[in-house]
Amino acid sequence: METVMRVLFVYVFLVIALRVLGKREFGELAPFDLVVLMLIPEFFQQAVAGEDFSMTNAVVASSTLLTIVLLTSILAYRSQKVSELVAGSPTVLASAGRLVTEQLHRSRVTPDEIYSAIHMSGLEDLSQTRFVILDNDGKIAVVPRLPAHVRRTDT
Amino acid sequence: MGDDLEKLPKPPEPPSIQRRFRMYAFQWVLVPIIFLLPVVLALGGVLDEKRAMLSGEAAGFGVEVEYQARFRFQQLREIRIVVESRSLSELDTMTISIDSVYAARFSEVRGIPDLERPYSLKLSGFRPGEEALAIIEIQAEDYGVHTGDLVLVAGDTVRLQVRTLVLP
Repeated sequence: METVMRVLFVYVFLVIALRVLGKREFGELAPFDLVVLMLIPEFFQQAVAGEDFSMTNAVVASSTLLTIVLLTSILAYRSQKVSELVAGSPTVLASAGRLVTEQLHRSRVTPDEIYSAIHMSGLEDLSQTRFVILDNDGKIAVVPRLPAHVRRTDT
Repeated sequence: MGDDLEKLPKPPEPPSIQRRFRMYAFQWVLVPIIFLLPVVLALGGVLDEKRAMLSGEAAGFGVEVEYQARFRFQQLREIRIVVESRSLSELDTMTISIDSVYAARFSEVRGIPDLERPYSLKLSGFRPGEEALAIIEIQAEDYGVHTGDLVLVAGDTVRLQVRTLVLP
């Protein structure tokens, strides 16, 4: 009983904490991120397991965590609102070749990072993009502006 | 260079579908066993520690024993034995011993007062109406159900059966 409650508390706390931290932190692991991800389990190991090193406790703790993860994923799949609450929604960082600076500030993404993503997509400049989107997993997706002849075909 | 998102084109939304909960057949079998069963058992208290009480009486004394009916690997817990003298005269010595078969299933067995020989301790010199406390500490080691007798001898004998489940 106590183990289930401890895992539930730690899970909810971490989901909220990581959600507040923002999706930018998940895309790439900087040294700082690595340190955080290594330290968090150290802090919570004792809180979850306490003095109990039994296999029973380990099974109950991991089953509780997996059950919560499964339930969260089912709820997130069934409900768009839950999905946005837990995983967030994509953020448009640039549209029609123009930076959305307010979103850059909120997501802590620099123009350099945007240009880096643009270059990795084989493009040269922001003006060649239709959208630059920060996805929920922290990666930056670049949607190129379609060439003029393709646009004509579309319409 | 920067601008408000409101005034700019937005990327198209993905198509919406009726989202339903579905699982594969093997998931219907394994999810309840691997995920839910341990949680349900734990929430039901079946995997928690459990203390139990026993009491007994003999000519000249009564005894109450609180012991660990269920605990987990490597946990250290007490068997508390409270003896009350109901004799009209002073009880010289009481020997409290625990089955060696039972005690051997635990990695650590300590007594307060100290064990005089394996799994046996003595209480002495308590007057009529007086209570005495003996504690035997046991540390869980072997998994399974362990059963044994706790025997108290002071002229007359009280034999109480303790049964402890050690979870892995």
